[in-house]
Amino acid sequence: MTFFLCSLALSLAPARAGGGASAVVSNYPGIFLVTAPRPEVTNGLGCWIWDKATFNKQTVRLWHRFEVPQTNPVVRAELRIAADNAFKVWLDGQELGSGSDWRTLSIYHLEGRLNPGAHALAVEGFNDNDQAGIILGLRLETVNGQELQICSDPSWRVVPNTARSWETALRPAEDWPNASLAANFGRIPWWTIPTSVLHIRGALPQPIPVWQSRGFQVGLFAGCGVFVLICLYLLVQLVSQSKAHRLVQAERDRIARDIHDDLGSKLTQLLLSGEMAQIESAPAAPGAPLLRLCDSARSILATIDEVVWIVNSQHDNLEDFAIYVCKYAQLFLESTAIRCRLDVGTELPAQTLSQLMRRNLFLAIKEALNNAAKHSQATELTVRIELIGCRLKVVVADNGRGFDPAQARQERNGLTNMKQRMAEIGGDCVVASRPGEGCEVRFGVPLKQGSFLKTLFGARSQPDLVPGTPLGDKEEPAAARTTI
Amino acid sequence: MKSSPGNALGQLAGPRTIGVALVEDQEELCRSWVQIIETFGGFACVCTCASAEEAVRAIPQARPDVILMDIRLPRMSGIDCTSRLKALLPATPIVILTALDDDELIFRALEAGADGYLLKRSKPADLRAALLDVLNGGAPMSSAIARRVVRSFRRPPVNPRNEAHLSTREIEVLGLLSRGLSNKEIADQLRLSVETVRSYLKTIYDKLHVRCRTEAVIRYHANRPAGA
Repeated sequence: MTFFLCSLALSLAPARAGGGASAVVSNYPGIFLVTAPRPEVTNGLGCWIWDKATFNKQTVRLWHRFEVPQTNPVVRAELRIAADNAFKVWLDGQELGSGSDWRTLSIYHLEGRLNPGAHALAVEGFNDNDQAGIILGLRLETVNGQELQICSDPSWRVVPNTARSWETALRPAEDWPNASLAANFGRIPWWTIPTSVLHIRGALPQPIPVWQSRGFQVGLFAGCGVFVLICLYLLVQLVSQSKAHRLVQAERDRIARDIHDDLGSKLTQLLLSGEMAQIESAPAAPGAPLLRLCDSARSILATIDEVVWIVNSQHDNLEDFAIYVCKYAQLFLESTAIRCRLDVGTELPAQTLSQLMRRNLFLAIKEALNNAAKHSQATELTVRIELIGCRLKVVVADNGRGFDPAQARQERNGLTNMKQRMAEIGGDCVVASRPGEGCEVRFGVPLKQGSFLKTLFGARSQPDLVPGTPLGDKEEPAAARTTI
Repeated sequence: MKSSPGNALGQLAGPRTIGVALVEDQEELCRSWVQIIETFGGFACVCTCASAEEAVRAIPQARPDVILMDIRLPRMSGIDCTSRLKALLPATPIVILTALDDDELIFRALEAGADGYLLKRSKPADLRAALLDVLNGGAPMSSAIARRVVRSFRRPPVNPRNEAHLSTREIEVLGLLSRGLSNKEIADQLRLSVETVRSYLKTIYDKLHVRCRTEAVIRYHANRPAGA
């Protein structure tokens, strides 16, 4: 569109300049200039051609194929064209331009656009009224000075209006008839010399949309390929790692089961033998060696149960953890004067707790219970477990005599121990107490939602496999241990 | 089958000796249990079985008063054995004797029809008390088990025809139990007698058994005269 406006504006200049030499035009790259018509501009034109029939408001498509010799590259190329009433022209499917004045000859300079090989010229002509025709000539000059001429003649083909992508076709279809001669060059009503000549230089190929460019398409394809490969790689990683994880779990479960079954049943046997011996050896005085033997066996069995529980991957959820902690607290406080109260939400969400987390949290709670049993002189102790957002909170509160945390000797009451255990799993431990007002130990630990990316990339550093501190502490619950 | 009828070592402490059947796959342990049970006085081992399959065959003939059942057995598990025996002998209480203190496992045994449970490492006196309790219609329930019972009743039943619901009172009792209160404390809080609390627990057990009974067991029941 701009093209025509420019041409209109600029065509005024030479008109006023009179029949002067080549006029004007801009340094604007690749546009055009208007020159006064000279006789030689018509050199190389063919004849006026059209479809067999001519009628008003008719559109005719003309198509022609030509070859540029492989050995002789083209150095100059000019396409001259005029049409009554209008035309649009394509070279190899790319639009060169259009014109709508039959008295104007358009000259397209096509240097650099005609590589050796086959090419197709396509012209769509439009007849507004009365007679119709298209005339053109393409002059090529090769590197060795040879000249080639392609001009409009009846060997051109008429393309049916129903044909698709005909502008790019490199072969004519069977049903494309030959064009008809409308008039030879110079015959009335048409001109011998055009009224004006329009030079169009460097008719650049129309910009191809980025997404249609070959580079982009190749790049996109390659990008997709790389993406698919990365996905596959990550998938394989995920599968192999979750498989490895499952294997570790299975192995861990197996070891736990073996420990329990073999060691457990032998110890139970030992315990029963001890009980029998105790019964048979008449009334055993409290504290007798046999009684202590049996108690030891019992506490070892309880410890094995604890290990099996921590290791067993079936118990890696919040509900099981809460139940276990409650059961432990009840059992542990049974032998003391402290009543155990439990406060656990009825429905805990299905949330996974890693082995490391279960273990450290449990051992920290155990420590707190132990402290309460040893030092608090409480009558009641409450274990509260709740999930607030993504944070698991466990509170061990007693109504005992309390203490001043500032003066408490940390290493003695195991506060350091608890804090260390919680720090290991990214949690915290707060001890709130005042003399005479009981003691409240609050454990908090963030529960992470299973992150996909973490599974992919972080699974190598299994937190579960980090060796922890030994299970047995120096400050074991008095009830569970008896020295021999 | 090793059957030892009578009460060889038992000192008679009641009008009648209580017959105990024992299912335990480890021979040595089994022998020790028999010895220990027979020192209780009033108890006698009437039947010992080394496998669940043997138990299903032998125990109905031995007609014990109470059955002690191990969970981990070769081939058929103690849980499956419990549900089969319960179908054959619905009136005979079954007490699970487990090595592993795993309440998930224990709860599954209770669902299958067990009436009580005990850890193998319990003291002989505790075993005696548990046997007597279960024979007197007691239904032992820890806070952990109470929690699981409540959860189980929230789920749809195994067989929709066995829809059994807990009454408000029963839910209340379970709630207090899961908060760590003893039977006596529950009785105080709800202004009931300890006996009533015990009977509530017994009803809860029965409802749990009904609810978890599968179609197969029901059919088994229907085809067999009770107690046969």
